[in-house]
Amino acid sequence: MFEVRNLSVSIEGVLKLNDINLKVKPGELHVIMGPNGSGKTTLAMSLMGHPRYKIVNGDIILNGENIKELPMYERTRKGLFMSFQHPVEIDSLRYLTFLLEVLKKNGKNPDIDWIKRVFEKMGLSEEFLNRNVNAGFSGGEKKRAELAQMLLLSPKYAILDEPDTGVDVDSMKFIAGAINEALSRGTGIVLITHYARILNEIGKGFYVHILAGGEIKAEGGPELAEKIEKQGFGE
Amino acid sequence: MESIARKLGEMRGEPDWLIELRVEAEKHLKSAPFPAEIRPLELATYDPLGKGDVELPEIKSLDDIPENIRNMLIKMGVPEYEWQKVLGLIQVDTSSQVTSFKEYFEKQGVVVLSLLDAVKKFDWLRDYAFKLMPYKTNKFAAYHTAYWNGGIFMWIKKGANIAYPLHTYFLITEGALAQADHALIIADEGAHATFIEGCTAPPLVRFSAHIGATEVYVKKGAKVKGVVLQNWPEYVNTRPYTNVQVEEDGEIEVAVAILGTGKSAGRYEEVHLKGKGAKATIHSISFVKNNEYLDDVIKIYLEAENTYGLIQTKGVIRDEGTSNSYTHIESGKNACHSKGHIECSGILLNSGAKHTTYPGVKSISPSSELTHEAYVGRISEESLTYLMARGLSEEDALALLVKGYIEPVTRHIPFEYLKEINRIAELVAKGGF
Ligand SMILES: Nc1ncnc2c1ncn2[C@@H]1O[C@H](COP(=O)(O)OP(=O)(O)OP(=O)(O)O)[C@@H](O)[C@H]1O
Ligand SMILES: [Mg+2]
Repeated sequence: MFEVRNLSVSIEGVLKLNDINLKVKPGELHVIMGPNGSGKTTLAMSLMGHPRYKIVNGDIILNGENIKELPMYERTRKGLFMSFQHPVEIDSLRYLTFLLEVLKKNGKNPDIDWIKRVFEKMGLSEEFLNRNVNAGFSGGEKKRAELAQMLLLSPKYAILDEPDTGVDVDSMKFIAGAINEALSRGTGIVLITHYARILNEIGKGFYVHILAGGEIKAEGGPELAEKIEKQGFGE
Repeated sequence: MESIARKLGEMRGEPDWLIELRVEAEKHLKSAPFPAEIRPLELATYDPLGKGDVELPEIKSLDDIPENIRNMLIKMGVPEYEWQKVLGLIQVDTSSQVTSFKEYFEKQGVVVLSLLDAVKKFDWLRDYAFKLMPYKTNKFAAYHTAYWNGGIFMWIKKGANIAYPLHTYFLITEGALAQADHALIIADEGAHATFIEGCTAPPLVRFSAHIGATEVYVKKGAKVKGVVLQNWPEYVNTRPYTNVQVEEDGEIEVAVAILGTGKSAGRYEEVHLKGKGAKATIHSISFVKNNEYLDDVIKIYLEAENTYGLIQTKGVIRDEGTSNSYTHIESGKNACHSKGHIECSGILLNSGAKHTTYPGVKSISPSSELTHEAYVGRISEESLTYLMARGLSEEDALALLVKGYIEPVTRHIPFEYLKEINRIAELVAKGGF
C-alpha cells in the first residue's frame, strides 16, 4: 500500500499543502481534481521527493517503509513513478540512450526491441527514440512518452500529473490505454486531472479527492467527478 | 657559440639540408614571437640534449609501476596492453611486434620508418619535411624545427587502402616520448588510411614541456582519418602543432579527444584545402578539470573551389579549469562555392570553471558560404531533476548528460576507445579524476 499521512508541505517557507491523507492499494485508481494553483503538482512533487518542496509534517509510506527522507532516485528505484505535467526538454541526450540508462538503473532489462514495442503501443514511432529527450515533441507526444516510460518501468505506484491536458482525442486513447494496462498489472495510480473525459475511458471504479487551497475538501466516487465537470468547484 | 641544433643533427647523422634547417631555426628562435592564441612557455629551461627535467622512478617492466600510477590506469579502465606504451616501455625497434606489423603493412603499400631513417633513405623528403610548418611562424615552430628528436614517417602509397587503423604510437621507432617528436604522413593519390595518435592514459614522460608536430599531406583523391587522443600528466606543458594540406578531392577527417591537458596545453591545428573539392571535418572534445588550462586552436583555409570545412568543438570544464577555443574558417579568392561551418560550445560543471569561444569566419569569395554558432552553458537543474526522478543519482545524471553532450563528437571515434572515453567523461562529471 502507498499511504500519505497528515502531509503538510511548504515551498520557500509558505505552507502549500495542509494535512493531506491518502491510501492507495495496488491496482486502485485515485483521482485528484482541483482548481489551478490548489497544490496538485506540489503534492506530486512532494511524494516524489523533489528537494524544493519541504515536508513540514506527516509521512509517506510505501509498502510499510517511510520514504519521506529518501532522495528522488531511491523512491523511483523502490517502485514509485511520476509523470510530469511539463516534462523537461533535454536537447543533448538521445531518448534511447536515456531510456537504456534508466532501465539499467532501475534493474530492468535494457532491451531495445521491447522499448520500441512499448513506444509503438503509445503511438510513437521509432524515430522518437533517436531524437533528444522531449526536444521538439508536441504536447501530446511528451505526455505519451511519459506514459511509455511508466509502462517500461512498471512501477508499484504511479503519480500522473495531468497526462490528459492538452492532448487530442487520439492521444487520449493511448493515454487511457496505458493507465488501464498499468492498473490491470496492479500498479496503484494517483491521477491528477481537470477533466472527467479521461475517466470515461477507465474500465473500472475509482476514488475522487478534491484538493482546494492545499487541503482535501471532498472525497467520493465517479459521481463526484461528474458533478465537478458540470458545476465546477463552486462551494 | 656552439650550435646545439647542429650538434644534435650531426650526432644523429642527418643529411646536411636538415642540419642547416635546424641551425637556421635555432638562430631564429630568440626573436621569434609566440603564437597569438597560445600561452607562452619558457623554453630556455629545457636542455634539448638532456634526459629530461622530471624525476621519475626507473621503470623497466610492468612490475615497477608505482602504486598511484597503477591505480590511475585501473580507474581509467586502460587495457593492460596499452600500459607498456603509456610507460614508455616500447623500445627502439626491438619489439618484434612492431617489426611484424611493419612487414605486414609494407605488403599493403605502407612505408613506416623512423623519420631519421626516412630522411636518410628518401632524398625527396626535403620537399616535404618541415615544409608545412615554417620555423618562422612562431617560437614553438622554431624550437621544434631546431631541436626535434624522434618521430615517425608514414607513407601510404598510391591507391593503397588500409583497412586497419595505424597506431602512430605503437609504430613509432625512435623516442616515442621524446620532447619534440615529429610525425610526417603522406597519403598518396587515392590512398585511404586511418591513423590513431596517442592513447587515453597519461604517458609517463620525462620532459615537462612537449613541443611535438605533425605534418600531413593528403594527395589527390586520398582519404585520411585521424583520431587523436591526448591525456597528459599534470606536470606537463604541451604545445602540439598539426598542419594538414589537402589536394583535389582529398579528404581529411579528424576526431580529437583531449582527456587531460596536463599543466597546460596549447593545441594548434591548421588545414589547407588546396585542391578543388577538398574536404576537412574536425571534431573535438576536451575535458578540462582541476587547474588545467587549454588553448585549442583549429583553422581551416578554403583555397580552391567547392571545398568544404566543418569544425565542431565541445568542451566540458569543471573545477578551476580554463578552456579557450579558437576556431576559424577562411575562404580565399579562388574558393568559389566553398562552404564552411563552425559549431563550438562548452558546458561548465561548476562556477569556478571558465570557457571562452572565439569562433571566426572570413570570406573574400562572394560565392562561398560560411556560418558559425557558439554557446557556453551549464547543465540545467531541471534536466538533472528529471533524470533523478527516473532513478538516477545526481552523479549518474550528470555523467549521462555529459555523455549525451559529447555524443555528436564521440560517434566519430573508434569503438575500442569509446568505452575509455566515456569512462573518463564519467570520472570528470563525477569529479573523481
Ligand atoms: N517554486 C515555487 N515557488 C513559489 N511558489 C510556488 C512554486 N511552485 C508552486 N508554487 C505555488 O504553489 C501553489 C500550488 O502550485 P501547484 O503547481 O501545486 O498547483 P496545481 O494545483 O498543480 O495547479 P495547476 O492545475 O495549474 O497545475 C501555486 O500558488 C503556485 O504558484
Ligand atoms: Mg499542476
